[in-house]
Amino acid sequence: MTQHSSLTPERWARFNLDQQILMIANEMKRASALMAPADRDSRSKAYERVLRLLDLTVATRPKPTLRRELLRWRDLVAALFVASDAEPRAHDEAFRCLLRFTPEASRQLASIQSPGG
Amino acid sequence: MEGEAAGAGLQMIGYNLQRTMRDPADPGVVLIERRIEPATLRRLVERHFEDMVKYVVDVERGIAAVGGELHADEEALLLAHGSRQEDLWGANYYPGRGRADCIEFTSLINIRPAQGNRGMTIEDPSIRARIRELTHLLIGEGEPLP
Repeated sequence: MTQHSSLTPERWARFNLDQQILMIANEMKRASALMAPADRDSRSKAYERVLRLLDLTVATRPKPTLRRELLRWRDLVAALFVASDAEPRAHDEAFRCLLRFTPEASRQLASIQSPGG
Repeated sequence: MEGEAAGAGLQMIGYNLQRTMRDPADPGVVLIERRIEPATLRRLVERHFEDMVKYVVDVERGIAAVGGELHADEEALLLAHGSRQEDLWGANYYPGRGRADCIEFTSLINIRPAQGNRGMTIEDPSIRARIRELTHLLIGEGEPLP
């Protein structure tokens, strides 16, 4: 069964955009801790959850420019999902970019540590 | 007053009346071809992210759209006003960081492998230089907000 498969667009749409972005960010944060080779399956599942929640956001947000930007961001995560090895730097860039989608989410940037930082 | 003009087509705002327009669909995005009024910049910075403002530059026309929540908002405004996609590059401007550090050349709209830019960050030094030039001309040189 696909992760978050029970989460319907209708239920997801009850959250505002800040909440949706922060919940996607939470899954990205989980993936941040799964960069070791042994974590490959868990990391893959985390990215799968990110993609699932992102697709729900795209489906429930009618603003064209937001959808356009979300789909661009989706390409970044899709690349991380299919990559054979972890890509911590690309992951970190995508994570930071996600948090810049809304002012509320951007307040969480201070809690993100740079690779090697 | 700036707030009264929304929805009435492209309107003029404050300083540089003939040169600063805004998108009726999103009054927070302004299109500029001359230096933005510091008070307007302050309003745009405080409106969304508080520490920075997102903007998109048309490197051929020498204009910029500033202040959207998304770079795609500014991109859409510029495209609607005749810009070409390949001339548009996104960045973030941080007031108060000084001339050398006020620009972050990162945006999702910059991912354009066909133009040799494979990531969010602008890699071509000549494009970065042009954006830096236009940023300093149109937005600021990293001075603190008034």
